[in-house]
Amino acid sequence: MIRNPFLYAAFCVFAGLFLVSCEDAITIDPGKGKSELAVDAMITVDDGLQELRLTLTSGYFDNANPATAVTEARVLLININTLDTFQFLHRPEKPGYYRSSRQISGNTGNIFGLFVEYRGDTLNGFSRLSRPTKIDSLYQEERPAEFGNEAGKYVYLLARDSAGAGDCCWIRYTLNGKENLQYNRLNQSLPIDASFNPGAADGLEFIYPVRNSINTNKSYLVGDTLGVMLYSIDPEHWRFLKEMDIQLNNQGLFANPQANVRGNMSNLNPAKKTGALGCFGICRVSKAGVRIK
Amino acid sequence: MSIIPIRTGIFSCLFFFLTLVFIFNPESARSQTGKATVSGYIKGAEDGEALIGAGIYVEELKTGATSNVYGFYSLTLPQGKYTLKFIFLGYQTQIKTIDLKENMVLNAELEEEVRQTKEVVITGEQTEIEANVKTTQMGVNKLDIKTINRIPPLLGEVDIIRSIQLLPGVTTVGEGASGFNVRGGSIDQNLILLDEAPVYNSSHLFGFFSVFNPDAVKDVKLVKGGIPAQYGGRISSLLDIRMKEGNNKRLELKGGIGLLSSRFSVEGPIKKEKSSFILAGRRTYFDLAFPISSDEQIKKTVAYFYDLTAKVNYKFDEKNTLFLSGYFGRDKFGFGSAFGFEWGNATTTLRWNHIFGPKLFSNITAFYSNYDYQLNIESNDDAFNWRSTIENLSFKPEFTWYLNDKNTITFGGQILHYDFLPGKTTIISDGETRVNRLADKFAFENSLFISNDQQISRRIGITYGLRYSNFLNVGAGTKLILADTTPGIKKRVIEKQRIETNKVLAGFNNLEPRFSIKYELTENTSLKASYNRMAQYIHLLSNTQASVPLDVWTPSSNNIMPQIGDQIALGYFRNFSFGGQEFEFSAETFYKEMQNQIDYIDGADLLLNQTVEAELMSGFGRAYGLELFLKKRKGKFTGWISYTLARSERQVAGINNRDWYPTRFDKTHNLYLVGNYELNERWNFGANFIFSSGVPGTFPTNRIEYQGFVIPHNSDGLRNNYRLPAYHRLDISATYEPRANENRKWKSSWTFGLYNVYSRRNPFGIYFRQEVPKENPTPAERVDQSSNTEAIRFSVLGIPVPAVTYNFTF
Repeated sequence: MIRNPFLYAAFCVFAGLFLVSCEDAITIDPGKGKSELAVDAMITVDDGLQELRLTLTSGYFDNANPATAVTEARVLLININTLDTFQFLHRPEKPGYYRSSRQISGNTGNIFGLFVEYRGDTLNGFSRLSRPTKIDSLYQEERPAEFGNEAGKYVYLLARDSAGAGDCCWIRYTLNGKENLQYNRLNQSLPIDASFNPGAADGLEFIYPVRNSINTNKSYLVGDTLGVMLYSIDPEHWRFLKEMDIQLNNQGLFANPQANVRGNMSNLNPAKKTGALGCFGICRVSKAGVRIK
Repeated sequence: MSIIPIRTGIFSCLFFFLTLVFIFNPESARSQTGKATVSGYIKGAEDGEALIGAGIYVEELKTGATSNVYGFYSLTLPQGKYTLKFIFLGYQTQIKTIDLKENMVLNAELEEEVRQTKEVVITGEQTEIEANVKTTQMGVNKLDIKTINRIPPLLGEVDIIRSIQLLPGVTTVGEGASGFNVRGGSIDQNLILLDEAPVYNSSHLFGFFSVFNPDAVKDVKLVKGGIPAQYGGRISSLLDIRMKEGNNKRLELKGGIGLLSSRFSVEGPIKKEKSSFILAGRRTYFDLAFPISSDEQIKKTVAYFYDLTAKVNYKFDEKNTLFLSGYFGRDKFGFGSAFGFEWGNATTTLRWNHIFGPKLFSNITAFYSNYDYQLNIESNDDAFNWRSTIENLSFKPEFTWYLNDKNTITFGGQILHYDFLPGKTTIISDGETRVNRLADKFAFENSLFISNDQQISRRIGITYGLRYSNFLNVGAGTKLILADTTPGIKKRVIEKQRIETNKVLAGFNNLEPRFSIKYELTENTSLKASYNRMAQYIHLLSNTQASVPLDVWTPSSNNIMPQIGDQIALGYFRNFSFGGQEFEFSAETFYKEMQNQIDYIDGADLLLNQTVEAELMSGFGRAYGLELFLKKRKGKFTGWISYTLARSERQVAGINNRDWYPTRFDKTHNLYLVGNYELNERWNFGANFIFSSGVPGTFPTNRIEYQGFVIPHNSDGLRNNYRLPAYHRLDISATYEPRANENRKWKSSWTFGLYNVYSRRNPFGIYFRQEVPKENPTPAERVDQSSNTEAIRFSVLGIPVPAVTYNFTF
């Protein structure tokens, strides 16, 4: 797939104009592989109690039986620099979810270690707390119909990248209280240094496609409320998300080879091969909200 | 490798080479008294075009020769009286008797056969001279432009690359994919030469059409194995495309009006018999209707491609001819000033043919070649501009020495300079600008070659040659020193060394032996074997199913070793008659090993990346197969059947647990049927059918749930573990030529075509995704949250595509 959102737009134009291509949902059965532990841990500092999720992977097409919850693990988060320890306890009412006993705290540059004890193995992953990138404002605009978008109300996110390369972000948002995952716009919501290539727009305002990443091609409606979260994330976590983006949007003429997404969890005992899938990332968040007028 | 052993190597090889020449030719050491040489050019009588590969057959001696790419031939014979026959497929054989006492020039102009339908009497000599059995070359397929014109076209566009894909050993990853794969090699391993200048992107419209205008093309030759020593730089194949020189007898205009594009060419003499020209252009025009559309968006849309081909030649005298040819093609897409995307090739070639004497022919070529692309996005205070280019300048002298009737020696060299601009971006965000330019990369690719085509006995012929290639990646530039790491993850940059202008960043030398042998079992059957080693110093970084026009070429460096390809092939060739019809048959097997094949870490970022070398991996490739080919060349019905059984695999540490895995273009079975039937003088019908195994793909076994997203995961870490369903397609066409008015020069024809007749949805790929939101969602469905997954089959053309084209000449 085309990783650069500019190109993605280019190819969409092309596809619409010239191709009589077609997509059909089909049934295939590649079989189910071995079930492995998956860590879903995106932990935010200074943002209340934090939750992470542990599951065992299920078959890819097993929509009736999504991931099995892991309920008997022991989870510990340690700020390696301050040796501050945060315990995460399983929530029986929400199987597979573990909640911190208190708010997570730390400073820019601190390294955090996540330790998961499960069935005799200790799995660990590390992540560094990045410097913050803050939302300056959200602004609304009336837009005419163009480039496949309907006419109507749209919202833009304004933020400025800090000078110096390597600032990675993930922009997420909720619409009327529900998160909109926007699988196919992930590439626009994962900026690095205000654009999509390291250093290319260093220190600038977020470039237009990033500002536009909290829109779909449909207009917002009067009264909608939007909650925008700008997460400043570790470059390793960003890489994981970019690989995830490639695999989630891997289609069309210019698809990449399908490949496993590399996580950052490994076994504390290097002699043991049992690892864990998924990723642990420590991050900060800057939030803003708007009601559509 | 140090330069000294290489030099010693070259001299010992040269010594060995010359020894071979003399051992097998005791007479060449002696003076050749009592012999004389007849030489000259063979051309078409109607247009004066040089005939490439025409046969000259000496009846008395039952021996012969063929003309080179400029139509020149030379034959050294004992003095005496001879009957010479000049033979070329589709032309009337011309017989000339000569009394050879001293060196003489004998040019021939052959008349075209009036009509293919009039069955031609098959003569012994005709078969005798046929190259497929008689020469040592194997793995060669020639397509003349007439054949290409009759293959059912997509949207009416006669297409050279699409035609090539119907030959044995050639495949494509799917419809709309640019380039082609030869004998299990990737698309960047094909050397595509247009009048000697390399073409870096052979595609218009992302890969649907090729950049060559059929009206300007004279000859297309694909060499898949036993590649002659004068060619190098790519490890899989050579596609040698020769442009027409232009009719030097009379002014001729040609054109075609199709659904997608129109083309027009004009050719004719500038000074009769001395100088001629051709100018051919092509442009798509569906965009011309956009401005009158009522839809504002369509109104602003820009979408077209065009190409221009021009050539002039000037014959100073019998010994000196100069050719200047140029190609310029471009694709443009966009929306008003908001968005623009364009790319194109430009080449210019200047060639000088000089005949030193009846036995020594020379051609000196200088060319310039350029490929570039640009992407522009603009709105009020925001803009994005991206540009990348690759530029070549080259000088290539080449000599053919017709030593005697048993030896033809070709030698020469080439200096090739590269200038790569991997990418320059200008980003404007809210009125502020940042310019990023990835440093240019410079390189020289130099080579020397010598090759001898030798007839050892009546039955045995050999061609042996050696190419010495030298590649210098030079400054100004940055040399990246990378740390070794676990295969499959990005390497750490330890050091960035500054390399000054013209200082060597990395250098490589390779000796590339080429050898082929033919043994004639009978007059029309032969066995052949060949070995060749090829080195490739530049690489196309492309990690997508189909190559994108934005893919970047990059030179070998301290981190990217040159690709080396070794190929052995064995073949059986036979021409025969059956039921009064003439057939050509060949069976070839090959085995190919490829070193230093580039692969990519998962998630590699290949564009605008300063340290892209840290994201590359290197591995081995191998390919092997059997190619069967049966062709009927003459008569009312012509065509061929081609079947290829093949495998193409890679082994790369960090992928597929280091086990061999099939490449994304690996296709086990490939059956191509191509037929053409000339019903009468007015109607001609064409059809082709393709069946090939599906390409491999990687299917996930498990799902990882992360922050609401469902990530596909293969728990065994396998690559290309499943096969897509087989590909098959039928295309048909019909050409109608109204009765021409004898008194008028105007001739026309209509071509009707239907591509993908039975509407097969051939899968280009199968993809995996979370369920997409509904078209008209309820308020609750306005957000993507479903964790349900689905498999999607993607077909590029799922419907029959009709076409109609009106062609004319006058």
